[in-house]
Amino acid sequence: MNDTGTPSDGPLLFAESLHKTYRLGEVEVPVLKGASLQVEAGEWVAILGSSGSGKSTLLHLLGGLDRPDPGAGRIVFDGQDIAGHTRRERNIYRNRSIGFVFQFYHLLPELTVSENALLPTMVASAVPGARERAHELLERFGLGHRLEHRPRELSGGERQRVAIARALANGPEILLADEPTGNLDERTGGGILELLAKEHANGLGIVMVTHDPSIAELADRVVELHHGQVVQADPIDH
Amino acid sequence: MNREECRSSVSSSTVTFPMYQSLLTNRYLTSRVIPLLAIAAVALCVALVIVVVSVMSGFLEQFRAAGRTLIGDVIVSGSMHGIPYYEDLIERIEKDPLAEAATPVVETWGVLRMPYDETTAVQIWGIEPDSFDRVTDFADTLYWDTIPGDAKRFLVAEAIDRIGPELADSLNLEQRVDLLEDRVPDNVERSRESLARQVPTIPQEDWITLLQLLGQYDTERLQTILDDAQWTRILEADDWLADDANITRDGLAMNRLGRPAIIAGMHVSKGNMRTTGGTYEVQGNGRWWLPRFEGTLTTIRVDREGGINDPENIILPFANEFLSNVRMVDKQRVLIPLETAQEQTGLFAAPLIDGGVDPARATQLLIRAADGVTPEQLLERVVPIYEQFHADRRDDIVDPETFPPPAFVSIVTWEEMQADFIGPVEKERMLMWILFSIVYIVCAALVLAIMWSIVQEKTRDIGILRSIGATRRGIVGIYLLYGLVIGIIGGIIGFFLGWLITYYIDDIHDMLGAPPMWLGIIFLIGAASTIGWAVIRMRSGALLPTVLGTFISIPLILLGVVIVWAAATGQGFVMWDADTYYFPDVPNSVDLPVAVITMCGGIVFSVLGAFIPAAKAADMDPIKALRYE
Repeated sequence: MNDTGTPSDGPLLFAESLHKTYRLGEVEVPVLKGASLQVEAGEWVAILGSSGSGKSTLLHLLGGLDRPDPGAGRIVFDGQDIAGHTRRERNIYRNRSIGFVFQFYHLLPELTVSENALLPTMVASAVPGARERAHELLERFGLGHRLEHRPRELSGGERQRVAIARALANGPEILLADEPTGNLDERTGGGILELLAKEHANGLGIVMVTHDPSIAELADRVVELHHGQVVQADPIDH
Repeated sequence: MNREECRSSVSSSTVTFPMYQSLLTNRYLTSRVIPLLAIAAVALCVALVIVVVSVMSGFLEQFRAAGRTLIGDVIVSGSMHGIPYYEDLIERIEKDPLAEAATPVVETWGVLRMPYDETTAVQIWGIEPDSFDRVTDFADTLYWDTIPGDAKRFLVAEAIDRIGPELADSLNLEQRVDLLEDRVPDNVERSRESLARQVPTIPQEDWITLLQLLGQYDTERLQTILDDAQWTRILEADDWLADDANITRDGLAMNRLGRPAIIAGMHVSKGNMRTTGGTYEVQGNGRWWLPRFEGTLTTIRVDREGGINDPENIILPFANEFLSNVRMVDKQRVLIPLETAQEQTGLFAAPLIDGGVDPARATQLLIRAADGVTPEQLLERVVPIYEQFHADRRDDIVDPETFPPPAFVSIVTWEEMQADFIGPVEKERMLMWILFSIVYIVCAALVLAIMWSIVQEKTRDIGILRSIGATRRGIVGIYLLYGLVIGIIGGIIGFFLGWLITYYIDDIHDMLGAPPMWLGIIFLIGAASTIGWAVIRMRSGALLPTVLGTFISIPLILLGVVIVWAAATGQGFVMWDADTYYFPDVPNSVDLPVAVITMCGGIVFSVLGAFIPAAKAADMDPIKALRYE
């Protein structure tokens, strides 16, 4: 089941034969049936799949938001098994090592742009220089004039950029993006992808879930999720 | 920051609130309307409970205490013959350390005729003021310690009447001319010489009239005309004019100018009107002041064989009025000296034809328990005392049949005496507690539901916070803080609101009784501005302002119109009718322990209402929380 091949010095994040089953009343619905994935440091991987293929679930498992079925697979980040982590360790993992970007932005409506971007830092208790870094990120994303605005005053593209700034606030090594352009028109979505590409060029690893092959093409590597398994590994040369 | 540092900062979150918790709590509170509604709901619930409980428990307390007013702790009632040798019985009772004091009462019924054609049926109590005060604190209920308003002028006129000829004869020529000059209309020119020539032609009774008229209409002018000796003579004719303290003194002595006098309940005459401040005003600015008049008491004597004699009238001056604050008592009881009552009822000491004296009698003995002694304990001592008293004295009396044996005497505590009165109160108290518990539960459920729905709505925020690494404990902390702040603000506002409403409940009630015009106008202005706002907003095509404007303005218009109408026609909404509730005032003392418990309850339910859904959301799978709509 290991189609991607095993790198010699160990990937930054790898998932091994993950199984995840949801229970809908009496019926058990298997979503992931032994999915495996490896992400090298600084690598951009696109997970392509139709809706219901389990790609979001895979992303949630990678991000420690959910756990695989007991004893069914491992997720290893930087040599440590996330699935075996305690709650607190997973909280810290989510806060420090990865950043989530969602299709629907998921900003807190009561907080300003600046506060939303600073939230992960505040959750970890204030880190010196965090405000400057968050503002520098927002500035870089073209939101310097929007710091004190509320999310409802922003366009969709601007909101998603705030969400990316929030995901990067604590300097994670991998960004987990779930259809980051799914709710945007093509042009705005293109802007977001451009921005991701720039961050990737600066060394950020990205795992992006999408159902759109043309978007997936931007990644270093595309894997396809089919019937709960990673069925294709397709290295792309740029 | 490496992982170790991170860990330590997470664990420190249990001690202090991390920045994001206070930031989010603050934002949730200030950037939305719902928390204001929640605070208002908590405040109103807390206030409602405080007002309801304070008024109800105050009412029941008053009601219960009312049963005890002017009655003592234990009451001994004789048969219709009354209790002979009651002085001896009192002496025996007062020797017992459990009894503080005892006093005799002669009770009968009659009709009281007052000035201004007022006539009313009254319960007459003949009392010995000194001992009656020791048992019932009667002195504290005497209302008048000053002469109200114009009553003083009338008293001056009446005092002049009393010493008329003597005072008229003491006038010198100058004073007589002064008096005449005062009667000359302003537009008529009359020299003092021509007035002086008239003086000898005026008879003595006209001088008395002139003195009275001036005394009544311009007391100060009269005082400047008369010399000190003459003025002092007037003050001596009615020492109430000399010193207000004499009013209380006469009340306690039941004496007015040397005659036995009546002390009437404050509401026996309609001349006394209660003001919003709880004090009394006398009609006609003191003109109707009962203590300046005499009253006619008509009683029907029932003789010892049970026969009815002709009605008997007795004219007695009033000396004061008492206010027990028990409407029933204040409205129908008058107090007169014991001997006078004994005369009127035939219970006086009478020499018998075949020698000996039939002793005076009292129909009741009121006994006060010593400090810390319950009425029941006292009762157990009084029963054997009466038995011994009867055994010792029954042979002293000429007709032993008129000495009621212990079996014919009722010796009861005040609660038993007032059982008809107190029984329903006890039932009512229970009913009140049940009703109150329902109100409390409804309020608690309301606060719980509001907080619950607020936090429920924030479920997705909780998912977001979880996705960026917030701990479950940290998230619950946000909403605990949130519920706590809403609870504390709402609780404190509610506490003071409840306190204010309860404290001013009589003023509020009086205002409802006579609603002021401005209140109605404010309502109408409010309605007009609501309609104006709705019309302006409606032009932008919105439906909500129309609906809101209609729902808000209709009750405002109705209230405004009703209040303006009530104010214009002098109508009012009297909810607390003193005749129905026995007490003139709505109880207005805040039940402090209940108020504090209620406030804390408001806080607890707010926190609970926030905590339960927050904990539920924090326990929820973050992915489900993120998808929560």
